[in-house]
Amino acid sequence: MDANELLTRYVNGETKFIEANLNGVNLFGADLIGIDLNKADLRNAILIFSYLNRGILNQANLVCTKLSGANLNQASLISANLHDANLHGATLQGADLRNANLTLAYMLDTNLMNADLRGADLSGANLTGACLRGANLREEKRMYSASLRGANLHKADLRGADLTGVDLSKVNLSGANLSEATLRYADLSDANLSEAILYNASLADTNIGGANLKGANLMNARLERSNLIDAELTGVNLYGAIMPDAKLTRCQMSGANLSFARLNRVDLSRANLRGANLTEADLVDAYLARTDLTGANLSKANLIRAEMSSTNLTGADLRGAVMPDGTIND
Amino acid sequence: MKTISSLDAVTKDLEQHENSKRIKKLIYSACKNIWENDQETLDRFNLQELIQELSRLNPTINNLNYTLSKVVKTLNKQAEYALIASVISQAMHKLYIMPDESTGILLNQPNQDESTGILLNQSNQDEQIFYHPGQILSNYIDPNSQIKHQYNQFDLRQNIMKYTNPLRAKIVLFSALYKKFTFNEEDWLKLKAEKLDNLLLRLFDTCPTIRELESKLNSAVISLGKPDENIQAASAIIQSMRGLYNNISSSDNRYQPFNSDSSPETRTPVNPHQKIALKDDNNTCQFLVPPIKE
Repeated sequence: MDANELLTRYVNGETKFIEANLNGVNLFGADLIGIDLNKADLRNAILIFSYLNRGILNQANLVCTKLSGANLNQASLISANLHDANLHGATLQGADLRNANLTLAYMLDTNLMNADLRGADLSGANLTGACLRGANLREEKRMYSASLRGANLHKADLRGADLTGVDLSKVNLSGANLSEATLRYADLSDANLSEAILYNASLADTNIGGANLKGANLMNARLERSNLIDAELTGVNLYGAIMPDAKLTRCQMSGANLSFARLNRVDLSRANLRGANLTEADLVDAYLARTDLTGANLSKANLIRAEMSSTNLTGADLRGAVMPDGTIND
Repeated sequence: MKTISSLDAVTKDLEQHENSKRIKKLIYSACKNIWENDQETLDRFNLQELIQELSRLNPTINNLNYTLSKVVKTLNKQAEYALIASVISQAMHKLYIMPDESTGILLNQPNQDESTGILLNQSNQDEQIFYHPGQILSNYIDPNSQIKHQYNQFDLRQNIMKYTNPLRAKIVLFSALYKKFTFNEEDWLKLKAEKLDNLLLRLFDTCPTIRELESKLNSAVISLGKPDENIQAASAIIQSMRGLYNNISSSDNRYQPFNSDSSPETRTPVNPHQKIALKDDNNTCQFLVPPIKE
């Protein structure tokens, strides 16, 4: 079927084009709202600026399809194959992309607000500047398991997104906004989160080992039991963060702001906290073996029962701090 | 609420300033709505009380900036008094700490990188930014507040994506900033190299007033020819960015509220609910009428 035939039939009221062969057709700017293209072959087709709002494209073959600027709001793309598709500046708000193949898809500045991406494979996709606000990528056992391995999410908007259990290891999330996002049980090991905004994010039981969080904002984030071993946290803002039982072994945290953070039972052994701000931090039962707190501000911190026998406190400010034995410094 | 000690400090700061006389004149005028040149009259008023009155009359720092800039606009020596207003605003900033606010993202600090409106680099600013949980700066953004105080790239991008096609918006922005987008391979490559964020920020940086922004986008729409979708995109951009200009005269923005270089009317806050209307001025965008009839 060629483009003209499709458009003529669509204008005449036909909407179902199931399994149609539209390989390589040019439908630039075409108005195909609500069209049913289930299992259609649209490989290499040109659908730039087309209107496919509420279209049904389940299991459609969209490999290498040019969809830049296309409108796919509320479209159904369940298990569609969008490998290497160009979705530059396309809009897929509220689209159903469950189990879609989006590997190597080009999604610069794409609107994916509230999209259902459970089980979608976004490995190697370029999502720079994309808006994934409220998107759902949540892992569900034996049902959905989204992957973002090697994806680029630089400056992406992921506010409020559900990324529970998602594999984000080694992903570039630099400058991304993950405020209020849920990342529980996610794998962020070796991810690049430099300058990322994680305000109020939920990161409990998350693996963030070896990740780069330089200059990130984690104010009021929840990091209970999280693994941050060997993470780069220089200059990070963890003001008021709730992180009991977190593992921070060998973390680079110089100049970090940990004031009012809840750090009960954390393992900070061999961590570098030079010049860090720990004002009024709660460090009850913390493990501070060989922790470097040179020049750190620990005023009014609570260090009851903390293990500090090998801690370096040179030049640290301990005014009003409660020491391990319960004594209060002047 | 506003602690005595900080009020003392502010008063001392302003009293000891080399322009303390002008400072007092401006504060007096902002309080009393009348310009007073008579030194004797001014002497009868205690500076500390005037400062207190001024802060009471202006519950937020933005109100204060707006009030001050309004007075400055009525004066002959605008440039001089713009600087004085800026001194007062900076000194009085300390007085604007509100208690018992729920904790929120502090998006608006005087010292941060203003291009983003987001705390990206706080390592050296923590001391100034983060107070005890009970004391949050008044310019912390209340999620319910409709006032947008500063450029927030994420909010702006989200709004534009919600109300128009992101790629169409990029094409209009590209044409407004560089040259008409021609849909050839070379232009596509150039557009791929640009993030929507960067194009928006560049336009904001280039246009000191909403009028200039409208005019630039209008020209771009005309040059692009096929109007409908481009007009829709341009309108969405203008609507989304209008808020950023509304508060310029009253926020700690790069466009100094007291900058006397631009004409006074350009600094007049625009009614946020005002529609893009036809105006006599040719520089103004006229989106109600398509620029080109096909």
